[in-house]
Formats: sequence, C-alpha cells, structure tokens
Amino acid sequence: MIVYIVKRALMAFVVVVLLMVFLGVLVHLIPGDPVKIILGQQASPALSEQVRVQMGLDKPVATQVWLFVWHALRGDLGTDFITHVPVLTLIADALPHTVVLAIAGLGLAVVLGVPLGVYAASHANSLGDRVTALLSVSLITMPAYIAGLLLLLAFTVELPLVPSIGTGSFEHPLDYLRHLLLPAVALGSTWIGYIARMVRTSMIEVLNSNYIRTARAYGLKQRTILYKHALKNALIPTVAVLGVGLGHLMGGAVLIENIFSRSGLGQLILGAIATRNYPVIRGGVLAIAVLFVVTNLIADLSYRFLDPRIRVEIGGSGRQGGPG
Amino acid sequence: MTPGPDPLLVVRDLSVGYMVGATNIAALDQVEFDIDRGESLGIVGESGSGKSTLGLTLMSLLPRNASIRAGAVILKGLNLRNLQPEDLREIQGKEVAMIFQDPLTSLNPTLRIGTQMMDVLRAHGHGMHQTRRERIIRALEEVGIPDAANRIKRFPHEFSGGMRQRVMIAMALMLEPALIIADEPTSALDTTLQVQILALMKRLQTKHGTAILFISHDLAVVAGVCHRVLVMYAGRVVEEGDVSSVLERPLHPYTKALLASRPSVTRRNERLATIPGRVQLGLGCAFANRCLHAQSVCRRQAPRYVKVERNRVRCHIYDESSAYHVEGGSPLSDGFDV
Amino acid sequence: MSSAILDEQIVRRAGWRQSTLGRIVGRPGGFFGTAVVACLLVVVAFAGTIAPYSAAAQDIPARLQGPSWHHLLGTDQLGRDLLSRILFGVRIELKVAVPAVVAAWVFGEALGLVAGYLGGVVDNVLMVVMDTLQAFPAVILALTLLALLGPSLIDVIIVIAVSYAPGYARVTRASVLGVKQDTFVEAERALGAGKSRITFVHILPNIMPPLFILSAMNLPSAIATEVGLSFLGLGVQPPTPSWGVILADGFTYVEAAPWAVLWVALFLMVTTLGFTTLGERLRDVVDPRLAGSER
Repeated sequence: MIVYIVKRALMAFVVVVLLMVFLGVLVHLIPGDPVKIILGQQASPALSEQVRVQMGLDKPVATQVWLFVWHALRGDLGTDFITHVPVLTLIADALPHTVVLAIAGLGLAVVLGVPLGVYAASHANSLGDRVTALLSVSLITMPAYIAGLLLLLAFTVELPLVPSIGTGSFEHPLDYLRHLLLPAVALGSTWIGYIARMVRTSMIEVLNSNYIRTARAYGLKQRTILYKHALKNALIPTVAVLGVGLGHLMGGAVLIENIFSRSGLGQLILGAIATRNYPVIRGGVLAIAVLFVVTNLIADLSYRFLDPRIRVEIGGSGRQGGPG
Repeated sequence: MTPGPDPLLVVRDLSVGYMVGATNIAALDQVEFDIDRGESLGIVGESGSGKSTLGLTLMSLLPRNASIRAGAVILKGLNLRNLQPEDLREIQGKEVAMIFQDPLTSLNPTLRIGTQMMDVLRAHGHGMHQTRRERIIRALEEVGIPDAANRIKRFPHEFSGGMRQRVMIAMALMLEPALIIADEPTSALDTTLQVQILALMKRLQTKHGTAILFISHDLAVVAGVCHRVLVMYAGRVVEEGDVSSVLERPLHPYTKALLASRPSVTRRNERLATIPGRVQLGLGCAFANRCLHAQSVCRRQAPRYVKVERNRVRCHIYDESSAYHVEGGSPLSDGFDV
Repeated sequence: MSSAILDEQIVRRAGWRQSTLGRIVGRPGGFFGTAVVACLLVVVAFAGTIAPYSAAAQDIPARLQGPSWHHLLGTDQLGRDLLSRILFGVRIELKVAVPAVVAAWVFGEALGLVAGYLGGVVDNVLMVVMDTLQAFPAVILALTLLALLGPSLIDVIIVIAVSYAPGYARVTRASVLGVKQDTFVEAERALGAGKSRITFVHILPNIMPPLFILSAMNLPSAIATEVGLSFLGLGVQPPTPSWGVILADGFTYVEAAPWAVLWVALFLMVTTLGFTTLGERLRDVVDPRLAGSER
C-alpha cells in the first residue's frame, strides 16, 4: 500500500513539473513579442524594458523555462509587477480561502446529497422519490454561479440576512462562517443534485444484492442495513466521480469568489488579469493546478482505500484464500 | 406422515405469487408439509420448481413484488403471516436461519467477517462485546476455520469458496436457531468440498439438534443428508416420503423420471435420459404434458395429494377416487430403469 | 469489453425513421427536450422577426424597469429590451457552443484514433494527458489563455473545445481497440492491406451515435461555460448580447432591478434541461448501455 502511495505521489509530482514547464513556456507559444503580449500593445518602452529584464525574457527560451521551474520548485514565483510583493505571499494569503470554500461546498453537497440519495433509494418510486428526483434535476441544471446570483438576490438584496460581500478573517470565526455560508451553498448546489442521483442509483443496486439479502435474513434493522451495510458499497463509485468533481468545483469557485467578492485565488487571478500582472496570473494558475493535482491524488487514494478488495490487492494485509 | 405430534414447522396450503408487470405468476401452490425438531427435510426440484421461493417464504424474505396469497406458515406455534415486521426480524436469524447458495456474493465485501457476525449478534441482544467476540470465535472454530481470532478481521474475498461457506454456516448456527434453511449450499463448490461441507452440516446438526430444510436440485446430495424428502414440480409438492423409499420405490412419474435421468457410472455407452417437454401450468396436473402415463383427466383436473403407505403423492394414478381409473388404463408397469 | 461498439443493427436503427423519432418524442423527457431544442432553433433562425426590439436599441428613460406590456421581461441599465437581447443572445450562445463542441468532436476523435492505433507509449501518454485535461476546470484553462490572448469569441471556442475533446477521444479509442482485435484477423487475410479502410468503414459509423449523444450532453455545459466566461468579462464583450454579458450587467444593477439575472437564469436552466433530457432520451433509445459516466 505504501509503495502505491509513493508511486502515485511521484506521478503527481511529475505532472506538477510538467505544468510548470507548460506555464513557463506559455508566453512563447503565442506568436508575437512576449512583452507586448503580457503588457498589451500600449506599454511604454521603459516599462517594457523593465519587464523584459525582470522576467528574463532576454534569455533563450530553454533557459527561461528552466529558470522558472527551478525557482518555482523552491517557492519563488516572481514578484507582483506593481507592488513588488512576492507572488508566493499573495498566493499564500489567497489560497486558504479558496480551499475552505471548495471544501465547504463539497462538504455541504455530501452532507445534503447522500442522505437525499439514500432516502430516494429506500423509497424508490414513491412520491418522495419523485420529488427528490425533480429537486436533483433542478439543482444539476443550475450552474454554481447562477445559484450564487440567485442566493445573493434572495438573501442579501431582498432579505438582508447574511453579508453579501467580503470574506471576514480567520480571527473572527463566526463572522467568517457567516461570510462563507452563501458562497458555499452556491458552490455545492449543483453537486447536491449529482450526488443525490448517483447515490440513489448506486444504493438501489446495492440494496438488491445478495449480501443485503443476507443482512435482512438475520433481522438487522433497516437503518443498520442502509447506513452500515449498504452505503459503504454504494459510495465507492460515487467517490470515484467526486475526484473529477473537485476540478469542476474549483472552476466554479473562481466565479463564486467574483460574485461574492470573496478573497481567494480566483479573485487574485481575475484582479491580475485586469491589471496585466503576469507573474501573479502565472503563479495563481500554477497554484490552482497544483491544488487540483493534489486533490485528485487524495481522491484517488481514498477511493482505493474505501474498497477493501483493491486495498488488499495493492499489497495490504491478507492472504488470498487459504485451506478450503 | 412421519413427523410427531408437535412439529416445529407446519406449512398448510401455502400459495405464493409474483407480480411481473400486471401478471400474477404462481410460484407455489398448495404446499403442505411438517418438520419436526431435529429432523432434516430435503426439497428437490429443478429450476423454477419453486423450491427457492419456498425457502425465502419461510424466512419472510420475499421481494416486494411477491406475496403469500393463501395458506399458513406456523413456526413454533406462531403464524408468520400474522406477525409484524419487528417480530419477524426477531425470528430471522434466531429461530430460523438461512444459508445461501453463493457465499461470495452473500457476504458483504466491504465489511470484515467479524463485523458482519457481530452485527448479527447485536441485532439479537446477547450481551457485551467480549462475550460476543468469544461466541463468534467459537462458532468459526466449530466449522473448522483455523486461527479464528485473526480471521475475523479479514474480508470475505480473502477466504476461499469452501471457507466462505463455512463462515455462512457458522453465522447460521451462532444464535442456535431451531431451523436452518440451506438453499443449495454446495452447488457452487466443487465435489471434494461438497463432501466436506455436507459432512460438516450433518455433524453439526446432530450436535445441536437443529432441524434442516435442505433445498437442492440434486437428489443424491439430499439423500446423503436428509431423513425425508419432498419433490417439487411447478410450484407444487408432488411426492413426499422418507429418503430411502422415495429413492428405491418412487411413486410419482416425475420422481421416476428424475431418478432415471441420473447418469450412471456402471452403465456406459447409453444415451442420457432426459425428460422431454417443458413445464406447463394450467388447470390440470402440471406434469401432464410430459408424463408417459397421462390421461385426459390429468389435463383437466389437478390431482389430489393422497397418502400411499407412509408417503404422499400428488398424482391421479394413486388416487382411487380419481376419474383416472374410470377412463381406462390401470396402474402401470415401471417404464423406467433405475 | 468496450460498450462503445454498437451493432451494425443499432447504427442502422438510429437512422431517422419514423419509429425511432416516435420513440424519442413519445416520452415526456424526449418530448420536452425536443420542444426546447426546436424552439431554440426557431429563435436562432428568426430572432430578428420574433424579437420586439433590436438588441442595441437604447431607451434611457425606460431603464431598469420590470416586466410591462412594452417590455415583456423588463429593461436593462440602458433601457434595452431584455427579451430581445436574450433572444438574440441565443444566437451567440449557439454560435460559441456548437463550433466548440464540433471542434472537440473532430479533435478528440482524431486523438482517439491516434492513441488507439499507435498504442504503447503514445497511447499511455495521450491518455494521461486526456484524463488530466478532462477533469481540469475549463474556466481555469480559459483564464490562462484568455489572459494572454485577450477576450474574444474564437478563444472561448478553442478553450471549450480543448476541455471537451478528451471525452470524444476516449470513446473513439475504445472503439479502435475493440475493432483492432477483429481487424488483425481480417488484415492477415487481406494481405495486410486495407486496414485503414476497415477502420473507416467499421469504426467511424459505429461511434457516430454515441459521439452524437455525447455532443448533445456537452452542449449545455458548453453554453454554461461560455456564459460564465462572458460574465467574468473574459469572453464575448459588451454590447454583444451574450447571456453572460446580460448577466454581468444585471449583476451590477441587481439591487435596483433583479430581472435580468432572473430571466437569464431561467433561460439557461430551461436550455440546459432541454438538451440534457433530449440527450438522455436519445441515449436510452439508441443504446442504454451507454448510461454510466457522464462527460
């Protein structure tokens, strides 16, 4: 098992390095003078020169890429064009908020979606099931930013209950949570529908299986059967899809941060785009990409951990079989 | 009938049907038998004969689209049809337990063996964690699983097929039920394992005094384990008696055909006998279209379940009051070699 | 075994004969989906005739009004009729989404053929890249490229196409792998010649239906992505009435007049629902085995 984890981690690291190379070389893939591309056509010669030197654009391409990757691996992502603050600092300030948002969104989706799916499966084809299906479909067709806008409309414009903008700070947890609530609900809303649907399908299949029949044959309570015996099996395919979902979630986070004026990587990058602050854009995108690779790794490992059959195959504890 | 005055299980006039779409399909029709404490009864039949449905009915495990249409199932004096779900759940596992055909799919792949067995005990009371754990280990040792204390931490796929079936048997015995229903417990195993498991079951039955309802398509297997046997065809019981008399002097034409169709080791170079035709349901005897002795009354009227010496048969041939004897033909020679 | 390989029979059945069409439209899902798509196509063709105003006609005194007889859905901050802008916006959305999906199809299919045929290292590398790309959020990809290239319609199309190509690549590759096993036998007999011909004759017609259905399911996502990008200012620029632009305007003035946001949300959701239900119904009619992982 350990060997497998190390292997996967290594692969993830390679992907990250490849991403760094890609980002380093990106500006050269576009036809034209890199400096003009970065700063726009109207840049003054003085600023252009400054940027050219600062970004090492006067050196050969391969050297530039190598330098970028080398520095990036050591945490040096350049500095903000305007404020000269190290990009890494800006990212370190923004990253936690994005991560918190994504986790909160996914967490909410799981906490609400799974029970909904279990309920629908155990009451299949009832009125409740159909209502849940309708609800799920509505949520699925609503992209996160639409949900965000509608929630904003409902709860801050029409009924001012929670703050509509800003993030609050970690020092005031309650306030932070108040600011987190609507964005997290908006972000998670689509996934509530997805998860509910997937869990329902999965659960129905599991509930028809022979081992659940065995559980019933021994008089286990319905609740035990649903949540202890069935759910674990039903969640395995769901977790696999969640890994993919994390990526989507982060794309949605960018928009949600914009709508709610929440600090985070999305806002950082968008702000940098407006001011053509290339090092920040590049650093921010790299941060998101790394985040993405890491979460995929975690999702993949937890999926394999959940299914004991795979866990054992990879080299865990058991022997296969034994004396008949 | 052999069962004594206070049988453990009494089944009378049991009819069970499945709803498929808008059609009702009869799976069991007028099934009737008794089981004594400590007795082992075999149920033999081909696929579709209703034998598995019978097992599920006795366990109150019928799927949602099936139900008991008529009749009574009385276990230890309690009519299962009248019980509430909570009461049924108390009985399941404790008074009557079931061993399924495929142990791999019948055990939860994501739960350890120990956990599954612990849940069974927990569902039926039985004291503290430590006591339960000991009980589980004892049960596993009894069925011949070595190193039980460590094995309980393993998952089902870490066991071989034979071991898994032993686990299922251990689970069934743990609560000391009065009746165990075994639905084709050895059909998924190879012959050497079959012999071992059957020997184990016999030994345990004698030791615990448990009654066994042994469901199988294989008459030979049943013969080795059971005292009495029921032969089922198309949802009805067609013959009942103790194993030796049914095997040596089968009464019902279907039973005779079944016995004749077994391949013989001693007579080589013979075509394997089959029973031509397919199961057909309707007003008369279900076997009529395949029966060599059928008369027109057989197609019109369902035969009654009558006593013949110490056995019972559902066939016009043995029913003296039946129109069969009026219309011609007489009780016949055996057309079959056994 | 690949479930993407369909019988010749099923492929032929997916032709536009009356009974197949009937099956699609017969059920409520299919009917609703077809109705929505039909309406959208009508709007694309006849927006000029249907819309009461032009998309650009300003009327400042009438700005930020709610629904009224003059303006059925209300007006935006420059007094432009929301209904008209949204209707013209359908053209923009499809103008972006359809080429993007088609490009994804072509590009993805080509990659899938290459990966399936060459196999080995090339296949492995391509598949790892595809997997990563598929899960990577399109918005982030867009941010990077659009930051450098500047916002424009073409760039949005490219970004969306790149995001969706892996789905097509995977289906195509599976089909190639499946046929390759049969083709080897045939190829040996046919003196090794004609292998590519066999590919074109067997593989491509077989994957048409599933890829078509994939496209039907991808279209609403593509539209939603475009709307999101335009909302951020990274896609189509105002005053072009992309739904994202209308949404962004509406957001700026949401406290004064929330109507724009509500109407765009409604149109977007109905469009998404329409395409999705149609796609699912198509899938059930053509080959229920395809139901499984989406996108």
